[in-house]
Amino acid sequence: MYSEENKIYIALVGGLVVLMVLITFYLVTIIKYHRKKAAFNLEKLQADFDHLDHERERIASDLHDDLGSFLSAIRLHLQRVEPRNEESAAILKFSEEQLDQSVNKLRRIAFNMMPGVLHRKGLDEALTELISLMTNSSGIRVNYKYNADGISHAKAIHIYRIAQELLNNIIKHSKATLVTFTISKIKNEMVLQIIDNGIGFDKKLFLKKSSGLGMRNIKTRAEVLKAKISLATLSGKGTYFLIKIPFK
Amino acid sequence: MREKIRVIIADDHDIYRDGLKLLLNSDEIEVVGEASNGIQLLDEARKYKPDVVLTDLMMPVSTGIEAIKELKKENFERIIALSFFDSDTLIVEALESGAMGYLHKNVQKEEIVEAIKDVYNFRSYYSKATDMRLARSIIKSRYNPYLNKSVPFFTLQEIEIIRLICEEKSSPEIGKILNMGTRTVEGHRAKIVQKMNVRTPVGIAIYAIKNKLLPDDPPQ
Repeated sequence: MYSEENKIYIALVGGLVVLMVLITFYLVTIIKYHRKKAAFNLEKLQADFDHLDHERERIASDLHDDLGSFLSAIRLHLQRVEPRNEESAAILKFSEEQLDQSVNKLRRIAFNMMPGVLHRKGLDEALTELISLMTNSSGIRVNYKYNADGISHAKAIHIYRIAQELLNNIIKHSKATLVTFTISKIKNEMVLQIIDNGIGFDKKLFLKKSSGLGMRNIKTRAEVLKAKISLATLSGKGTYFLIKIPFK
Repeated sequence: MREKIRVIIADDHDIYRDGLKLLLNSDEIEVVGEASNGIQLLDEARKYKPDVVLTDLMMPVSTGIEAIKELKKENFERIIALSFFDSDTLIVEALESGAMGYLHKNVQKEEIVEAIKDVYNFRSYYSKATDMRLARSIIKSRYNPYLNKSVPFFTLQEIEIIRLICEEKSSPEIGKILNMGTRTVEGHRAKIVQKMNVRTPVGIAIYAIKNKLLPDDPPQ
């Protein structure tokens, strides 16, 4: 028979076990709930992005192909006008120039919104076009190499946006003259590396301050891609971005 | 009287086609057919057997690129692609598919007429607004209008000038480098352009590199 002391002891242990089971159950439930919620959030994020990108694509193509064509058509029709005097010739010339500028602006807006080439020809061509546009206007040199076919269109949009954001930051802030940008395939991952020879920055300050729209955009898109981003920077020496994106 | 150049135009916007038609119809050119997509363009081309086809590249149902490929299969060569200035990849694709030239959509009437006449005479036409970026894309592409065509003789001096033109140097700059007067350079330039049967520096660069006239790699 158990002594009185032992009985208390057993009851205590029993009680503890029950309590532990209850706590474990509670914790597991919470973790499960959070995981589910995270997965749901990620799904929602993905859906939001899909919706956003789809809308952008539609608006960009409407602007680019439709409105652009109408403006060009008007310009074509104006060429048939034979001005009566110098004044009307000047007005005509002015109108034509304004139309040209409108078309240029319109098409730049459309390209920034969603480059048609991304849909038609894929990520490599879209990045090539983006880089030529950027280097044309900034004087920075970009050595670009792409060797990683087989990414889905949905993912390509996110990768394009991330690259666009990073390159924009480099051009705006880094004072770099040379950028090396490679995309390669290593095992089951697409590996994106962007290295510049600019002034670099204080990493701690950067991470703390990186609540800007651009950086937030990169982070959220990386989250949807389940990508890992690493960053190394040295003040005065440049910056190195490494992003690994699983293909599946 | 000389016969008119018979042209078909394709664009999915009526207003653009109308403008083009009214602008082109003259005692030199006659627009004989119109199409608003690639399939219609093929039908019209088969029906009217035009001298030159002028086609937009982005059209619904069947794009200009698809139509160009089909026309090429049917030995129809004299095609001009119409495109916006920022659609480099599309333009390169059109050339690779068989277009003999391209025009940016906002060009002046004179240039459209010039392009139609050039292509009518089987001469490649590159829109005058072509920048070096597009030129490089064309050079890198599979497009080569000079396959199996004989190349005239170029003197060493001409080759040197061609190289400098490819490096985007102006005539006065070339004169300074080669120790000759601008006029002399212009004279050589005129001869080069004539031998190559091209119009612009971009035309010279594409001709030179496609025909491997320059011994070293071109500047990329």
